[in-house]
Amino acid sequence: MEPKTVHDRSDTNGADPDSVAPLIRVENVSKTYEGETGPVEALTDVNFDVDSGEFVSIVGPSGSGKSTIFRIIAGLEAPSEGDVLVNGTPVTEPGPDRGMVFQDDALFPWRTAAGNIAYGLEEVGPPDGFTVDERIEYCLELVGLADKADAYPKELSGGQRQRVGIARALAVDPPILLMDEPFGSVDARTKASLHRELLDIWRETQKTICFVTHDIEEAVYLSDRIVVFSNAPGTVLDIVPVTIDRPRNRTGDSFTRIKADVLSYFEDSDEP
Amino acid sequence: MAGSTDTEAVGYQTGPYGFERGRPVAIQVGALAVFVLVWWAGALVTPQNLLPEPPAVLTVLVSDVTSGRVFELIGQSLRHYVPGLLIGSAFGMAVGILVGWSRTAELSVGTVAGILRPVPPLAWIPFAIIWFGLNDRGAAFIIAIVAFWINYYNAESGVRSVDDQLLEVGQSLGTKSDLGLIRRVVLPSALPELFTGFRTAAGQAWMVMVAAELLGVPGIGKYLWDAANFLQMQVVIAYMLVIGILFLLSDRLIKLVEARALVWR
Repeated sequence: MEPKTVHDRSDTNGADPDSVAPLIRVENVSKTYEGETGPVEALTDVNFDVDSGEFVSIVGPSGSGKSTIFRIIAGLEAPSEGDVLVNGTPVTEPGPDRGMVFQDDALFPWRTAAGNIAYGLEEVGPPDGFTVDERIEYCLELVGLADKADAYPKELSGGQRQRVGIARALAVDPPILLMDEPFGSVDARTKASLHRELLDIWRETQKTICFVTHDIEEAVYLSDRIVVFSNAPGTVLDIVPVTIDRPRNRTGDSFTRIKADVLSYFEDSDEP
Repeated sequence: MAGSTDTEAVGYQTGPYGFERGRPVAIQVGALAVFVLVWWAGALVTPQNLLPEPPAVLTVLVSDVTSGRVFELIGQSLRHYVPGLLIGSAFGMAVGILVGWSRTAELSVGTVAGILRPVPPLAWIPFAIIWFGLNDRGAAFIIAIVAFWINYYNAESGVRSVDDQLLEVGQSLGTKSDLGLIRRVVLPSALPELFTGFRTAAGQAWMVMVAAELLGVPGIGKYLWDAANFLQMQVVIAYMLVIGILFLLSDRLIKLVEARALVWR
């Protein structure tokens, strides 16, 4: 498939023309794994930026390397070539400046909702102006679970667990939130309300969100821009700006047009 | 986001249905009754010193409980049972966690452990005698070896089964050092396996204790062996029952602590 021209950044609503450098810069990143039958290329020369305060989704079929780029930005894996820069500094390890939310919530099952949120606060302390308890309370309220502080993960529904996961990532007030298919395993109705809630949280906390998904509709609903990944080895096929005003109507004309646009990249493959 | 509703149901565990509740007890009591009756019938058709009758055993139990001898013997046995179990378990857990966590430890310590593991604990008795002598410390050493291996393997597999994602979350939330990750993520995560190991070891330790006391260390096992030498089989059976009860009690006690510690499960 012939890659389409990358859209001009200046016409996207997320990019601030005065900004000096992007918050996240993915620069010529390639990743090769040593497979049983020789090296396997997962990512080839990936480039894109995420500006401060932006909501950027990374979409692609499974095996497109979108989870690999998530792990590299998170600092869980090192790129074979290239660099991921956060605030101009290369990422070498995970850190509290990048909150992570996973598909299967990854809550500590032995800690209550409040205890999970407390974990990062115990390590790096509460953000300025908060005590640990105040911060826990604030984060629980942010995700609408003030009454579930003492509940263990097993006592929470899938949607509630994801909310705690988001609250835990936000507790230490990271500028960046990295989310790897966070709503991949919740039912459709819960998913829709989680989408609205996530946008509310994004607006209120002014975070920069990097959101990996294989659900194109989800990406169009949430994002300022969509980075479209190809099949393996993963490359950036296009970066699609979504300029529709929020809240977005999933059945509106421009919504369905952008959705079809993104989908057109995958028409000859089975997924997504 | 406050005030949002969640449509998914919360999966609290529910107890068994009413009709299932009373029956297990009836079955248990019935099975015990059948067991005693078969034993009694067997005792009636065999010579007295091969298999004593239940009333003879009961007499021993009643008189030794009233005289306090049972408790005196339990006290003697606990003097090597408890230190042996605790020391062996602590070392077993520590080494098991290390081997489960570090590839280097797995290759080095794990390899040595693989060679020593098949040695039956009782084969260490000669060393117990020359290193510690015929005393509580020698018996505790044998018990500690049994406890060590059981805890070692449970701890190792517990650490290996820790969800990698939880470790990644721990790192992203600011836990940097190996020691920090072990303390804050690995230990709580592996706690169920650690409990299983300790509980299994506590049970096995009662069994090996009887054998270890064969050396001549005072306790229930020694008393049982002495009685056997005089063909007082009713005493032997009485103290077999005492060990069985001690096993059940320790098992229940640990399960109780376990349930408290693992409410999150």
